[in-house]
Amino acid sequence: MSSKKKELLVVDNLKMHFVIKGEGFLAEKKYLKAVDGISFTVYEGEVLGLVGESGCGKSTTGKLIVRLLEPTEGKIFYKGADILSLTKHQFRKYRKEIQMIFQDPYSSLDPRQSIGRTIGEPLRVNKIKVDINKKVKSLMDEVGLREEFFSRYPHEFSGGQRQRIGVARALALDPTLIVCDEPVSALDVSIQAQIINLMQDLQDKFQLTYLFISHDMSVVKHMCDRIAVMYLGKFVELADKKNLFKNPKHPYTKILLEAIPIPNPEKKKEQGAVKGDVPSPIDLPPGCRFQSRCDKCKDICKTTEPELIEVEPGHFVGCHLY
Amino acid sequence: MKDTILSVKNLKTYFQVEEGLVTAVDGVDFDLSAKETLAIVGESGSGKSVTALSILRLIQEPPGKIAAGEILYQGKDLLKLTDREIRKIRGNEISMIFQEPMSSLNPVFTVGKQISEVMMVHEKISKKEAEKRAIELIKLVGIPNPEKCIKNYPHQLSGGMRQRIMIAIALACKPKILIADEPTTALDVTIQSQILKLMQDLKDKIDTAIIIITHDLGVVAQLAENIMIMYAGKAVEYGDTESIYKKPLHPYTEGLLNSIPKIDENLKRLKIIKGTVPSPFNLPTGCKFSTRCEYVMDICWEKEPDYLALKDSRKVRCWKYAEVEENVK
Repeated sequence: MSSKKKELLVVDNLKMHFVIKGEGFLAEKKYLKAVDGISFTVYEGEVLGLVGESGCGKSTTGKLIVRLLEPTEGKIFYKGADILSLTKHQFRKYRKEIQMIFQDPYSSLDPRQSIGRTIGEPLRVNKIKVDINKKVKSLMDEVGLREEFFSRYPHEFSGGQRQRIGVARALALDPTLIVCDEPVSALDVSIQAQIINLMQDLQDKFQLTYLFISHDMSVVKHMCDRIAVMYLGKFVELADKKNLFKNPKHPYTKILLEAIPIPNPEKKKEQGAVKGDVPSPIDLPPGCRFQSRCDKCKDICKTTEPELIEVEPGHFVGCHLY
Repeated sequence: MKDTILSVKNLKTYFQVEEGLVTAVDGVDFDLSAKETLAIVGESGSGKSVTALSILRLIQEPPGKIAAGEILYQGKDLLKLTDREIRKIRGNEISMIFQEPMSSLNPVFTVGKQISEVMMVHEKISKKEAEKRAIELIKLVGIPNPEKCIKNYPHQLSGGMRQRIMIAIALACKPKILIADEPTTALDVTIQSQILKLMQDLKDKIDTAIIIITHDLGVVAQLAENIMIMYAGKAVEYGDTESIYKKPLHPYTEGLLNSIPKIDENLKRLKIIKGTVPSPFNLPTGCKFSTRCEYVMDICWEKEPDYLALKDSRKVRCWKYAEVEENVK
């Protein structure tokens, strides 16, 4: 990774705590710490992958960045501007540049709007002065949808085509950064490959930056330049792709890589290396979040939470072993 | 000869819906031998789940209908049994694990009751005895503290735990065949790995044949001995796992294997299968895969290829091999 890369997005100690009502009238409030103090930088033109299992806070992080949620604490700088301190009105200028692609192509499209209207909606809302129909048609061409689909409705399309519609809508305002929240998880294998290729082509063509959220290590490895591994609201490891796969440091990353079934019968793996389940994110015990499942757990892990430290240039790990 | 326990012949299952008739399964043949693990692989709409449901006659009629075929289990045709007779086999000799561990358990009964119920119905044992065996089963599927666990309701358990309970229910009567419909799709990868290990271990322990239905080619490679690939309601290829991964014959299988990103390889771009699965109301006349195939020939548009038996007990439904077959014979 060259050091001259321009910082596009800087996230500083971001926290999102959801309040959970306790049982009973005088019950104490409980907090679900979905995102609990993460800091990272996204450089211009790169693809940063965010992986983790369900409930680790990866989608919440995505939503915080596009300001669909307001964080409890922390700062987000986009091109140097502190976007969280802006009013909704002032933020509009930036929202155009930060777009999102959602996981479920079935629920993220309005069933009562034709796809031409859906794709053109961001242009109308932001009062962009262009020939909207012409622009929409060129976007549709860009993502591989035929022009005659313009006045059809979402239910007429398959999952893969719907995801193309979602991509076209995200591209409508010529964004710089796209937060992709599990864009291919709901798709069939053969369609998944088509969308992955499409997203790569578009990235080259429009010099996009992606924050790519996924639980699928193989897809993340294929798409991303750098990868952050999340566990219960924190980063446990952040490194560029090659390092992470060749030399994973955090016990959780190792386990995660070990658990992926390889589509090659000659490389059968011993399955079931991880013990236990992800603990509930409500009222976590002190110390390292991974202690209950870690086989290298030491005394210090039970009392002190490890910080994310740089063990090699560009390779960050949050574990007491390092 | 192999010791065949289940033999599906020319199975056809149709659904009558508003828009017309859907041939969800259109003439599927396969054999399953004792203790074998067979994977049925395909994308959504390929008919893999309907095939599984048809075996246990769990197709709701109407709209569905098993229109033709034979399902021979130990010589008996399951399709000819009365409802009463099939109920004796279902959950007893052939049992099933479903994809969604959340929605396939009953939320108002404890898991202990749900496991015991199967044994009380099929084996006519007392409640006490059933409970004792339920505890053993829970221990078998690797849940700590089984005495406490049987008193839990499904919502108190995590997804992985619920899937373990499902497996315990399915195994309660020591079935000869276990059908697992996407058993790990809804689970996280570390939990998936645990469940796969559990299935492998149990298979060795209790000598059950397994039919695993999945779209995940990674899971298949790790678990299955033989594979049947389905496309648009038909089986397009059959063979042992190693040969299929090494040398896929059908263009669809080849395409599927090429289109997944592989963790142990570095590719710049994925090779894709163009287009999408055709609508069931508008299937091509010839080969069902002709619209997406990169090797398509004139004959593919006109006539549907036969399911050819090649050497090494492999089978393929593709015109590319029509001549090869004659050579083999």
